[in-house]
This record gives sequence, C-alpha cells and structure tokens, in this order.
Amino acid sequence: MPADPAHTRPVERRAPIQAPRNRPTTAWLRRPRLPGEPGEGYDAALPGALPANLDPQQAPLGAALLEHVQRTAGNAATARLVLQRDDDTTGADDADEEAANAPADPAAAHPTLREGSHGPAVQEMQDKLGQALTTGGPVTTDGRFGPTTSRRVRQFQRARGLAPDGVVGPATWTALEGAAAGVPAPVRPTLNLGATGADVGLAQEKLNASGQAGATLPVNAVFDAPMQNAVNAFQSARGLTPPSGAVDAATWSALDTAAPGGGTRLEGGRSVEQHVDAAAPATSTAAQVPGTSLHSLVGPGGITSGPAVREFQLKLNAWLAGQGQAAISDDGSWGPNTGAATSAFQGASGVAATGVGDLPTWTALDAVAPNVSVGFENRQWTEEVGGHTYGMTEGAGGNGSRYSWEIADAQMKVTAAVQFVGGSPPGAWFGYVRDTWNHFDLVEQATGQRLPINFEMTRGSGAGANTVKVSRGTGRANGGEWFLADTDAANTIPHEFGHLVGLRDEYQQSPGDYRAATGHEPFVGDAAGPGGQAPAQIAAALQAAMVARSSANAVAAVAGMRQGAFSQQVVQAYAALATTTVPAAPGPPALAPVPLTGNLVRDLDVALPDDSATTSDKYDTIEALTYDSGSIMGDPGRHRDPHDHGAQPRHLQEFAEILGRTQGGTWVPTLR
Amino acid sequence: MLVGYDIGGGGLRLFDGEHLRVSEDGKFELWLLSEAPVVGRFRGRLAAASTAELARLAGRLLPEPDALLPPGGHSERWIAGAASIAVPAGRTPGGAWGDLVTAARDLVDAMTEHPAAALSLSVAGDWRSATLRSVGSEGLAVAAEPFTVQVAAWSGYYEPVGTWDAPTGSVPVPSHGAGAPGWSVEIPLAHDFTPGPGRVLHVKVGLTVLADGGRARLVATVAPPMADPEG
Repeated sequence: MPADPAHTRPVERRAPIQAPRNRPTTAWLRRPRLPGEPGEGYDAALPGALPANLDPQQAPLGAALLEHVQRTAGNAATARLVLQRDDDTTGADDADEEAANAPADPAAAHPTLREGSHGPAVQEMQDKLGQALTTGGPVTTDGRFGPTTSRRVRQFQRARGLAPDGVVGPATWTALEGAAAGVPAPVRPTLNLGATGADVGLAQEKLNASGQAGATLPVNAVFDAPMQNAVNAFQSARGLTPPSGAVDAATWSALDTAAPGGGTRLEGGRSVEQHVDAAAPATSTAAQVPGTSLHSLVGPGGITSGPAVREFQLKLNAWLAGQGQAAISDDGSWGPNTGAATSAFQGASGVAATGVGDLPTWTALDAVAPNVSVGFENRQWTEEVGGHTYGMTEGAGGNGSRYSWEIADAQMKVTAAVQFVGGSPPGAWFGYVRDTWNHFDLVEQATGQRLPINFEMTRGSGAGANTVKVSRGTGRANGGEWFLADTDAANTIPHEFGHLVGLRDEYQQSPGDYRAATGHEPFVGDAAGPGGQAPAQIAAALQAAMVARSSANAVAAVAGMRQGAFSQQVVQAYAALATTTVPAAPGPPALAPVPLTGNLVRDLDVALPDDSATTSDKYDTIEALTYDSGSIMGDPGRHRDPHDHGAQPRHLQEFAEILGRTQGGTWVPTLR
Repeated sequence: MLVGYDIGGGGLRLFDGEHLRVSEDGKFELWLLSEAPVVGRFRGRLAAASTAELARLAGRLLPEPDALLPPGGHSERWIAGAASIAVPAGRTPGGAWGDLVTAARDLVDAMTEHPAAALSLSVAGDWRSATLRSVGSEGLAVAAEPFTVQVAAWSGYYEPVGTWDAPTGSVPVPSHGAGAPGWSVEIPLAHDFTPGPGRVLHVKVGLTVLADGGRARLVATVAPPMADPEG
C-alpha cells in the first residue's frame, strides 16, 4: 500500500516568533519618551532591591528612582533599565513599513501581515477572517500567522477575487473589514418571566458580568424570579426606570454596553459561542493553601542555593543599606556572610535567632523590603476538578509548585526547575514549554512600557525544584508524572508546566470555578436537553443511580446531554431534592455510606464506583455536568474554542502583578 | 478478595487502566488495557507461597487516608479485604501498605504470561505490517467499531519525527465478533518512516471489545524503548 500523505503528520514546530526589527535586544523597558525625560539611549541600572521608602505606586521611572538607581548602581543584582523612544507595540513584523506607505484608506491603519507575523494585529485579522469565511470552520485567533492562517487567507482572497498570495495588505484588509461590517446585528427578543432558551442564558451571562444585578445567577437559560430580581436591579442601576423586570430592547442595549460579547455567530460556516467577560478578572493562579507560606526555608536545613536564597539576600541588603552597612554578596549561595547578616537582622528585628531564613524572618524581611527583582515561590494549592480535590502540596511524595521569577536582562523570566526521576527528559520537552508560553509582553497601561515575559523549564534538584517522574509509554500525564512516548507532548508538557508555575486546571469545573479560572461567564452551550425528560427527572435518576452505586445508570440518565445551561438546570434540580444517604456496599472494595450533600458533581465523585476496565461511565457523567475551557490549561481535546486557545494572557496575570508591585504601575499581559 | 488494585479516574480520560483481583485461594484476574504488546484479560492462580506472602502482608495493614492526587492525576486504589488506600498511580505508599503494593506489583509481570482473553500485537521486521492475534482460551468479542492504527516515529531520544494514522476503516474488523479465540488480522502500515539507527517506530492498534456487559478499549502497543543518553 503506498504511503498516504494525508495521514502522515510530521512534527510541526511552530515558526519561531521573529523579533521586530526595531526591537533592541538590550532594552527591557520601553515606552514613548516623556517630556523632560532622558533621551534615547539613556541607560541606568535598576537595583535588585527597591528602597522601602520608595512608593512603588509612584511613577517608577521618575527622579526618585533614578537617584536611587544611580546611588546603588553596581549592585550585582541590578537589572538593566533602558528608556528609549520606541513605539513598536503592534507586534507586527517589518511589514509595518509597507502599511505606513499604503494609500490613505481605512485599511491602511492596519499593518500588512504575512506568514511569520504575530501579535494583536494578527489576532484582529484572524477574528475578522473567521467571520468573513463561510466554509472551513472557525479560524483560531491565536495572534500567530502560520501556515494554517495563510491557507485561510488565501481561501478568503480567492473567494473575493483577490490575488491569493496569503498576504494581508490594504486590499485584503478592506475586504475583511467590509465582510465583518456586513454581518447583521443579532436579533434579540424581549424576554419575560417564564422565558427559556439561549437568549435567556445570554442575558444571564451579561447580568452577571455587569456586576449590577445583585446575586450571581446560574446560567441556566431559565427566566425565573431570581433573574427577574436581577433584571430589576440592573435596570435601576442603569437608570432604566421604572424597572420592568423584562429584558426589552433598551435593557439589551444597556446589557450589551455593560457586558459586550456573548451569543453565537457564524465563523467559517459554523456557529461559535462568544465569551462574555466576567465581572471579576480571572484568577488562573491557584490560591495558596491557608496556613502555608510562599516562602521556603533558606539556609542550612533548607534551600542553600538558587533564586530563593538570592531573594533573601537582596532583602537582607535592603535592610543593610538602611542601616548604612555594606551589602553582602547576592550570588544566591548561602555562605557565612549571609548567615551572619541573617543573625544580625534577627537580632535587630526581635525575631528568634535561628540563623536561617525561616518564616518569621521572611515575614520581618518582607516588611522591610517587600519588592526585589528576584522571587521564589513555593505555591501549595488545591483545586476541584470533577468534584474531586487535587493539588500540589508538600509532603507524601509530592511538592508544591516551585518556581522563580527574575526581572533582568531585558525580560521577566519565569523558571520552574525540575528534578526528573526515573529517566531523562527528552530535549523536545523544554522546547514545547517555550513554544507555548513565550508569546507575551507585559505592558504598563499608563506609559506603554513593554517587557517581554518568558518561561523556561530547567533541570534542577533539591528543595528548589519540582520532582517529576519520567515514565515510559504514553500514559496519562499529571503534575508529577510525564510520559516519554506521548505523541501529544507538545500540548501535554506545557499543560503540566503550567501546574509547576501554580496554574490551576480549567476542565470539569463548577460554574464558579470556571468563572474564576477563566474570567469568562459560564457559557450557555446546550440550552435545551436531549429531549423527553425534565431536569428534575434526570436529577432524580442520578440520585437513584448513586444510591444503587451504578455508574451505568448515571451515564444513561445524562445520555445526549452536553455542557451548558440545561445541564446546570439538572444540577439545580438535584440541589432541590431531599438528600439521602447512599448505603454502604460490601465490595470489594467495601464502600462506606455516603451522605449526599446536594452538590451533584461532588456527590457523583464520591458515591459512584470508579470506572472499570470496561466503562468510563463515571467520567462521562461528570463531564456533562461541568465546564471545560479550550485553553492549554483546559481540555482542548474535547472543548475546541477558537478564541480561548493555547496560553492566554490570564495565565500570566500573577507575574504582571508582581511586576507592578516591584516596578510600580499597572501591567497587563499582551500578545507579543 | 485478598488483594487488588484499580488504576483509573483522573482528570483527562485515557484508556490506560489496570485492574487486578487476587482471591484468597490465589486465583487472579488482571486487566491491562494498554501500553503492552499483549493486552486484555489475564487469569490464573498464583503459587501458594506468593499467595501466602500476600496474605501475610495484607494482615499487617493499618488504616491510611487516601493521598492527595496531583493535578490531572489518576488514582491507584489498592484493596485488601475491606481496607483500601488510594495513591497517585505509580507511587508506592509508605509503611505496611507499601510492602504489600511492592509485592503485588512484582507479581504482575508473571500474570501477563497467562492470557485468558487478550490481544497480542507483533510487527514485521521491516515495520511495514503488523499482526493482531486473539490469544488465550476464551476469545474476545470485538465491537463493530473501526480499529485505530498509529505509527509514531522517534529519533535520538524521544525526539518526535511524526505520526501516521491508518485511514479510518482501512483495517477490517474481524468477523469473529462472537469471541471465538484464535483469529488474527494483518494490518498494513503504510507510513513513510524509515526505521534504522537512531530512529525508532512505535505501533499502537486500538479496538473496543465487549466484556462483562460493558466495553473495554484495548490499545496493544509495540514500543521499543530508546536508550537513555544519561543511562
């Protein structure tokens, strides 16, 4: 049989991001020059430790900082600070120049884009392209102009009678904008108490996202009394008086203003539901387990080298500087001088004289020097996925998420060191992390300063490293075990790496956890059931299946049901049932009685027996009743989402906030 | 039941479960679903000494709480009589449970020499065809679903070269759906990878079988290991 090229997939390595031609490799902070500031090429050193009396909320690049910088220049921990004129924030490549020379028409505001281009302009183009195409399915809006995007551009150009060169110049931009403008506005019906359907779910998303509707509504596509109360509250807040309790045209308009997006639209001929941003931003980084510290013990008995020690030394130096004493070396290696300085600090601060960097000492140092240019975090966290609790915590063979960050060398670098056990890691794994995660800059909102943020997985050992077991075969990878022959490692490894830098999962989530992890309102999805049965009947059937310890009965109860509003009706109906206790089962394994709680997914997790060799019924039941995202931390294999794909800015938010605390200002992750 | 374990669950479903039951008289039943050239159901009886050792170790157990699973982790639940403990799959618990787990795991390889209703995958020397055989005395009822056939090519040390998937439906499902043992099917592997020094191919054949009133997805795998450059 001859080879069938259609079924052979060579490994595709994504085209490397091309640095904009004007981007200096030595600059790390870039913004338009302000009046009175040093001119292009001004070069100063930023110390590792900011003085305690310097308000990080003040303009970080002002005279006070510069004076401090000049005074402390020479500190071995300094990062390079370069101010210069550079307006290149589009992320587009050298095609920008073509755009600058293009005729003055609406499309000329856009850069010419071609394969290899990247950034927000590409993302905008991909979004318009998806709307303009009528076949071939959605276009992934990842901001990277690769071969697939090029093929879809040619498809559009051919359809519009344009030269199919795959280059998005002025003519193609004009055609794209015309196509997008020609999409009719959605028709929104007036909704009243008792209404059901996808439009009700959309209104619920927007009411929640507006933050002006009182209590958060379940996105269940049922216009009930709580929703009417929310509509009234929203109308009052928006001056739509008297509140009618109905979602009429004026209310829709106000909802669209308060919470844009949502609903479905055709992309490449397929209906794609659009996200509605939740009222609160995403918290993709998992919360620290109460009672534990992000700091690790440093010094004898703990971490004796690496970024944790260096962070400690930088903080000690900030204290020493305030005492008028000479700095110690901040080489990240614990030595006699670090120990002596620690003891001196403990003595001066009333902290127990342990001579090591224990938690009380860290706490005292944090008060003296809250912000330095290096940090190490030992994030211990738990999460709920499919009603079950998972986590990364210290002890019992596991570890927290151990990672460090550093602001230096023209970037913010986030590193997770890994001690691989059981086998060696393939070199490709390290590249997969870079390919997925290194596509963002942090941008300061007021000034436009940009700082690339890059992630790296390195090999390490000891208490500063994560432990990962390397196993043969292609098993189910997790935060602590990865598989050598995983043919999907290009996605698996970056997902697991996300856990190593403290990111939570985004699949099989409750509505609240989905909203918190993604920053999106839970999607409407399937607003109606598979037919025949009411939510209360399905809920009762699920409870009966639990009492019978029958996963087969459970999956039969949800047959044909998919994630979305209707499945949440089932979740609600279950919560309204009288609770009961699932009796013990003799086993094996012997199963203890389970008092049902009314939380459907958690009850299913506990009460149903684990899937066997011949079933995945328990998994499939829970999957239908939860939410997945399509991002790298979600389940893109099951939930494909052209607009929530791969690494997302929300995943980097913790580091943007760290940069803000350290350098001042408000920094936002943005596609590079 | 004397001792057993189930590997399954976890966040992302894959068919890589294992399930073992050993009864007090030493009879065992093992399911391996994937990651081996021979997958399916294995049955037999342990040597009396092995059974006695498992019984001795099971008699020393103390109650232990289930371990916290890592994100995406799947559990390995060990059962001994009425007691059980769950650990992240592949991890050995401490104490008396650890002794029992270690001893039982050591017996699993020998159990795979006793296929009852299993599939055996072999690959021709030129890697251009494979043979899937029904082995064991019981036969396997194959569901009328397409086979999946994948060849993955690797170079160096697990550096991916690419994958080839057989067109859907290109491999005929055996007509022995009722489960008569002894059937075999030839599978052409029409990839364009060239095995040789520094390049290794892995072959996976997946199909669904009917058993115990349910369905099991079996993935027989021939996957020569690649030398660890660091030993």
